[in-house]
Amino acid sequence: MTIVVNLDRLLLDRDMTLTELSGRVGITLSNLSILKTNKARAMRFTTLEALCRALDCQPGDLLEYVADGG
Amino acid sequence: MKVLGNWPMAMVLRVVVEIGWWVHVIGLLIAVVSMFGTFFGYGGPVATPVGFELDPTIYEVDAGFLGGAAGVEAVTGYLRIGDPALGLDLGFQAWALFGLVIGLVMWYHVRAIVRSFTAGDVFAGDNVRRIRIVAIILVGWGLLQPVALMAWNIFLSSTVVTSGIAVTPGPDTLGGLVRMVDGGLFPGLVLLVLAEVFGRGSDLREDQRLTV
Repeated sequence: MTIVVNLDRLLLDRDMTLTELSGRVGITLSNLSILKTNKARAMRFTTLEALCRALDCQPGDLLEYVADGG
Repeated sequence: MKVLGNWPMAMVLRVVVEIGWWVHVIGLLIAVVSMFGTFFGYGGPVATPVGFELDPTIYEVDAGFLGGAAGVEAVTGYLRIGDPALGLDLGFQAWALFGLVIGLVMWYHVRAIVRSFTAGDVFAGDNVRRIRIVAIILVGWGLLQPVALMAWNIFLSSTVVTSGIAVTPGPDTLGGLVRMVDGGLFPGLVLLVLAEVFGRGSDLREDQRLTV
């Protein structure tokens, strides 16, 4: 079971860079990179809220559940 | 030198552990030299602490101001083993050397743990492994002592034969048991528990590090 963070796709759709997003939400580039590369073990609700606000999306747009082998 | 915040205990630990490490290294070197000397015929006889259980019908022990001989059936003293043909002197030194090597391994790991404190990385995964190693050594040493004591007891009772005197290893059975628990088993078990705590701490730290 994997939770995938679709940050790449959302940034592409909104024509935004990771650096710009970092400035908007107040999260460091390294932390955003951890999210983007799916290395994060947990995410705070405050972080999720900030990302959804900055990217104008729903949590379901950002997070996707992928079953094993999928 | 970087310290863990303003904790002077870390500095004290660092100094104590460094002194202990070097004292142990020097002790080990002396033991090795001594053993070589004994092997080539230098050095005097080995003395080991033993207990002498005396047959009260044959021997009378004057306990001095404590009240005379009544009831005194055992004394402690030293058994000097001077016959190199027995190889006991080498055996003793080999046993001491073994203990020193084991001790050196423990000091090495404790020293590494303390160094990680001063580097600011307490919950390193390596520390969990190091604590477990020290714990296992302590438990093993605690279990080995009664075995060694038993072997020594068998040897003494079969080798040193004097009418009316039974020679036993220095500590009595209860003392030996206490030494086994206090000297190895209990501290080893405590360390194993602490290793588990460190392991959980290390996992928590990793979770925290990867929490966005």
